Amino acid sequence: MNENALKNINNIPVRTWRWLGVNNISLDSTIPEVKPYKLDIIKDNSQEGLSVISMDKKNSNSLRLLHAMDYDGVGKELTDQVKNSYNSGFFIETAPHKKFEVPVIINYDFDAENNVVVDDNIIIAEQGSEITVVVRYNSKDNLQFFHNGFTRIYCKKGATVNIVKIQTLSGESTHLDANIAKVEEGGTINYVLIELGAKDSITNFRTDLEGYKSVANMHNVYIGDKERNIDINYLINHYGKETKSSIEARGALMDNSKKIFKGTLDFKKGASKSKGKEVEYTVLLSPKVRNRSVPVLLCTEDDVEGQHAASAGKIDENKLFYLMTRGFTEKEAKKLIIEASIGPIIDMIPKKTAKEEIYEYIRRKLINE
Amino acid sequence: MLGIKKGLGESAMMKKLLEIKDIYAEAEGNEILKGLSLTVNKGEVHVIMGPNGAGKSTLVNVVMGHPKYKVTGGDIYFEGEKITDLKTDERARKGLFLSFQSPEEVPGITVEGLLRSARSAATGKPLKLMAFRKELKEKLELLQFDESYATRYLNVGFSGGEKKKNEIIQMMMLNPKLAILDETDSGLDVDAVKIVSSGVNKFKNPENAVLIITHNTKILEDLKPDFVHIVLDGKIVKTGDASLVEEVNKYGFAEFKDIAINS
Amino acid sequence: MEKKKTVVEDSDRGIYDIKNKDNFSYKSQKGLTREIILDISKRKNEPEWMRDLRLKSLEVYNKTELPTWGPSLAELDMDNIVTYVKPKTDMKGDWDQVPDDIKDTFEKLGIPKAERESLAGVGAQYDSEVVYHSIKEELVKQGVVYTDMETAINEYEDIVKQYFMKLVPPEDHKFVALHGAVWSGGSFVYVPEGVDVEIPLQSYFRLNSPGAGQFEHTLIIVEKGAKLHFIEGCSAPKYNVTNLHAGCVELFVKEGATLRYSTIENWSKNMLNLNTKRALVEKNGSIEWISGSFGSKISMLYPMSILKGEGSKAEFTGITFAGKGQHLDTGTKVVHAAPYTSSTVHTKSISKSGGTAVYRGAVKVMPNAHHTKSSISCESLMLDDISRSDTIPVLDIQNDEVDIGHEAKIGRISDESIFYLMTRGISEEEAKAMIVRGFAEPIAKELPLEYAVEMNNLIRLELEGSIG
Repeated sequence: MNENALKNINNIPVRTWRWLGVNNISLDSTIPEVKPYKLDIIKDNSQEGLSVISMDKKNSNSLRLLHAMDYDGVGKELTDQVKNSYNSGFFIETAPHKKFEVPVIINYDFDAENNVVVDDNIIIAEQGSEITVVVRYNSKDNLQFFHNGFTRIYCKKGATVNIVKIQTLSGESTHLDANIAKVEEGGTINYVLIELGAKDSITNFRTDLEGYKSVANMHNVYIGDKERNIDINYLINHYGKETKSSIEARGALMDNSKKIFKGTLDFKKGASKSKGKEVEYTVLLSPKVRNRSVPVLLCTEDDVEGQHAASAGKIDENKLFYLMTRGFTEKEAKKLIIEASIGPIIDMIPKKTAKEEIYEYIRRKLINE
Repeated sequence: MLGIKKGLGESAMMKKLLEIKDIYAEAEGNEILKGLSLTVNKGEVHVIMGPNGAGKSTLVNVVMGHPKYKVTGGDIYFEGEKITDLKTDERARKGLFLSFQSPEEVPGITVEGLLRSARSAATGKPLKLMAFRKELKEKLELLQFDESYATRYLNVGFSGGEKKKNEIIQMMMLNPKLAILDETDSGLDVDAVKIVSSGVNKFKNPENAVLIITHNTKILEDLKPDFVHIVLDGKIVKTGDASLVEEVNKYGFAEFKDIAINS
Repeated sequence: MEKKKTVVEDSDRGIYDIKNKDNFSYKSQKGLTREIILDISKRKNEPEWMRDLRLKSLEVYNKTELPTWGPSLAELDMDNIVTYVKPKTDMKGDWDQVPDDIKDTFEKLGIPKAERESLAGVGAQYDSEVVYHSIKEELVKQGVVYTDMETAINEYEDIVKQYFMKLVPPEDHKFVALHGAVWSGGSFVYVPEGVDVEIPLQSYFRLNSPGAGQFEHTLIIVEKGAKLHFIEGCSAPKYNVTNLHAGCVELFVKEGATLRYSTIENWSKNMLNLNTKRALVEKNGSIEWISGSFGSKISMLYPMSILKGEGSKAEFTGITFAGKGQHLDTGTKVVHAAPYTSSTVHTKSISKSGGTAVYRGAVKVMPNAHHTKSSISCESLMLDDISRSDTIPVLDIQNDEVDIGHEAKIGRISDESIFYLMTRGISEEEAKAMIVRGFAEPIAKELPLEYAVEMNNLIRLELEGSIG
């Protein structure tokens, strides 16, 4: 791989002053060799009308055709790496009009033997179907892991896709995750994205609301601690009429962590009567953090309603005081307040055990603060 | 214009302000008004009551020509002239006024600024500023508003009650022939209702008329209606006098539902 | 010479494709030579340090690339940049060549004939001396200095040398470098300690030099505890024979001082307006920008406030109206570089008839700027579906003891608001115009009455015949 593959990546849709450092990001780390990944990511996921198979080279070539998309992901070279050298991935396809209540769980576990994951994933929700997919990128050991993933989601007419991605990689890891979704008429896609680990967490999500009345909702939680570097890049394109979008990002930054949040809502001409909303709340817990937000609204259609709001600051003093008068220490009170803020999004995780694990994970981080 | 002729027919014509003839109207593809008819003459106070969803707001919006509502049958006449196809502002200039249930906030335009523009639009002549200001001050006092309201941005930061009172001030300054009050008393406390009623009473005279939409009736304690209409399912199902109000207060709208089904 | 990070760019594609790739590669600039610069300096009788500054700027200019973000500047004839600056004895054009729409606007705005010609850079200078003289006496009594830039260099050399292009150095970007090399004209204002200048000073009194206003440099120093309101130009369109405006404004607000800087930028619709404005605010000082952008074909305008002193404040209120054929990329930058500083930004933009309005902003909080408060609000109104409106704000926060909030909205005039006004007998067109004026009102409110009236007239002219 070209040594420049991690330079100037995760490009923002519209550039601005370079001195702000938000147009793209460059990482110092190197990309390891892609070796085989031997763990089973799918385990027990069989349900009638649902096809969940792993994306290994034995699968048919027809899957390759779906790659023709005008999307470079986090960076062209990284996307090429997935295309040409993936070592894992899943392919999920639903039968039309079937609603699956039990979520599909995909576990990408990392360990010393399996320390590189380059995954190529596809979700196809056929017309009128409903599916929930929970993808976890997790490591237990404190080694250095590398993840470069590319996920394509096709939400067909009237279908609903709930995609939950939880990332809890070790503090030395590199996490690169590109996702693109196309939503047809009446389709809905809901994202719950939890970024809690990795040294560099670089994510890119693009959703094209192509069909009439299609909907996208994004909920994001992140916690930055130690020397963590979080770079989030969301883009929602409104093409169809009466399309709706919402982006909600809530996070906390402590120690020397850094975060850049880029959220773009683009109303294309013809997307009349569409509505888009974006809110971002960041709690700052240390004077050494660097918090950058770029909430962008692009618009070439007048009959729309677009809005965004971003706010950042310390924990509300009044809330803190109130809890302390009820006997909580300052640390405990802060923890409670942050949990209350991000809780509603964590609660969207459908799997109870996963939810609890996440709460535990967050609690540990906050206590150490 | 009508010539000055004697005779019962002609004088009855000259008395007629609003005539709604068998109106059918729909919004977003749903038919809401299903053959509603109503006549309001000069000097009269009409009250329209009915449960939520009966079509009261639709009626009001259709009379004022709100673009979202489509008339699919029937006609509306004002002072003998067909107005069904006229634009909202044309109807307003003919002497129709609507006091909104939820008045719009329009930042950047002051209370006074709006009235001045509306007055010039109506008369087509430049405004006599001093006289106008004096008149506005009087009306503000009457409705217990501080003078400073004149320069505040239209409804921005106004409480619900203040917004409603502001509508009445506009009514008094624009002096329409027919004033339609849409749920003017909702959200007001007892004192505010009294202030509004007294304003409406001052406005009322033998040459104009008032059409009040309410399902609360607080406002009717001080404003005596001549006619009370019950609207149910897009039509007027019963017309009576002031005593109808008491009936509704006691028994609700249930009894009128039978009439609706049978008519 | 050290290249600073802020100006050197890689060839990279932004959303606004720059069609002429040649603009990116470094080419030796034809025509703009040392000789020409030396010539300019000699004609002005400048001291050596100014001449050297010009030469250094020329060097920086030759080494710098064009920006790779924002509107395309492809139509700027970079190869013949010298034609924009070569001093001619008579840079003034012919009244016949002034476009009709400008002549028309002068008429409708009621600008007197003599003034028209000066604004059009055509006739003799409007006799502002008459008006100016009576004000001048007052100012002189207070010790206020208000003169043109060339005179200032000669008569107040010490002060000017201390400040000139220190706040906006040539390295900042290519057009500042160009400005540094060829600047001409502009105002110099010095307000001594504790002086409260009660009447607003207006720079349009100072349109003197040939090729008026293209590369003017405004330098204002408000000393400790002093107060000044400065109005840059009037809202009438300024016609110019050439189409590049690369001016520079440097404002120094000292401890406890207050400066209010109002502008209505209304260059003619063939202009490329690349103005750089910056204020440095000391302890407890405050800068207030009032900015209206109406004219120009392309504008890149981002007044910047650097809050260097503890407790300093910046306030920015702006409106941008992009009509047919216009691409107005405007906004503001605030840097909080000290504790207990605050900033407020209120911008509004309107786009119609195919125009593009972009709000581009930055609020940066340095690590030492604890207890920073900042609130930003941007509202964009689109009047039809062939125009464009973008909002590109950036928050960069490096301290946790802050309170930062930002919000933005994009949309059209609400149908409900139009209906409401129509029920008061106001026609649909008038209702829309009222709402648009109401939208611009917070800016109009901050301007002296005659500017507010002119601005409202401008809006009315812009809307005329195009709402539908």
